[in-house]
Amino acid sequence: MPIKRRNIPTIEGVTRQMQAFEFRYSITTDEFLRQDGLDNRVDEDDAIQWQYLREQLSALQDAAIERLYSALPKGHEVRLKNCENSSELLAA
Amino acid sequence: MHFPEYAKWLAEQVANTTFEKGCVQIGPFATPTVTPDKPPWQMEWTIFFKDGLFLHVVENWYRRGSTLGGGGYRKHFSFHYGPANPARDTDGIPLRSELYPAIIRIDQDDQIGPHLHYEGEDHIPQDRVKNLRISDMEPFQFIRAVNEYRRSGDKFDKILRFTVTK
Repeated sequence: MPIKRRNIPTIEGVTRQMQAFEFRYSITTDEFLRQDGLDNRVDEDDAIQWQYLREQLSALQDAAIERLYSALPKGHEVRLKNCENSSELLAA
Repeated sequence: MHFPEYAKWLAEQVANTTFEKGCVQIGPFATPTVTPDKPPWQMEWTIFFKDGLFLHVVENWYRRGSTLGGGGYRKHFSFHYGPANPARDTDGIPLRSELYPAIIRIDQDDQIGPHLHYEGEDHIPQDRVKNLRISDMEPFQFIRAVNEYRRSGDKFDKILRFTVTK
């Protein structure tokens, strides 16, 4: 039985899925995450999936920023390497 | 754990796993989000048995910071065995429903932490489960237990050697 792969998600696709959760539960993703996914109104499986979507989105955004920075002159690379994730990079 | 290492382990485990005749499978899927070798990734495998029961294992692996060596760590998992709801999601996976309760489900999530759904009781926390460290549970350990359950008819607490205290 070979291991299969689903299509690699896109920022747009992941965002749409997160918006579907926001609509279903009438809270924003930020509000949901501020509670560390512990909102009792959110179904157990949905909470896991919602958090995973946020992790996916963060990874996709980081990859996009890496691609952007890799196209810049060399001096900019040092700052990229010192950052753990996109939020740190944007703050730098 | 890095994805190539995980994918190799998964392929080996899958190759050594067999099911009774007549099963229908969705997956196994192992899909990294961004590039072939980087977390996060999700593993998911669903097996439908001919008698209307199904097995569903899913793991979500998150990114570990580069200062911790990069790679991924398993943050969530859910291993489920029970009757299959005819209502399905877009991937064909049975939707969870109180009308189709799990015979056993072993979960780790942020809401409750490691816990069991077993013998009609939901959210049995780790401190009531003896001789089974839930967070160390692997999908193939669970799959072997399901196969043993179906073959022998023994209860899961006997097969996995755990006890649930009151």
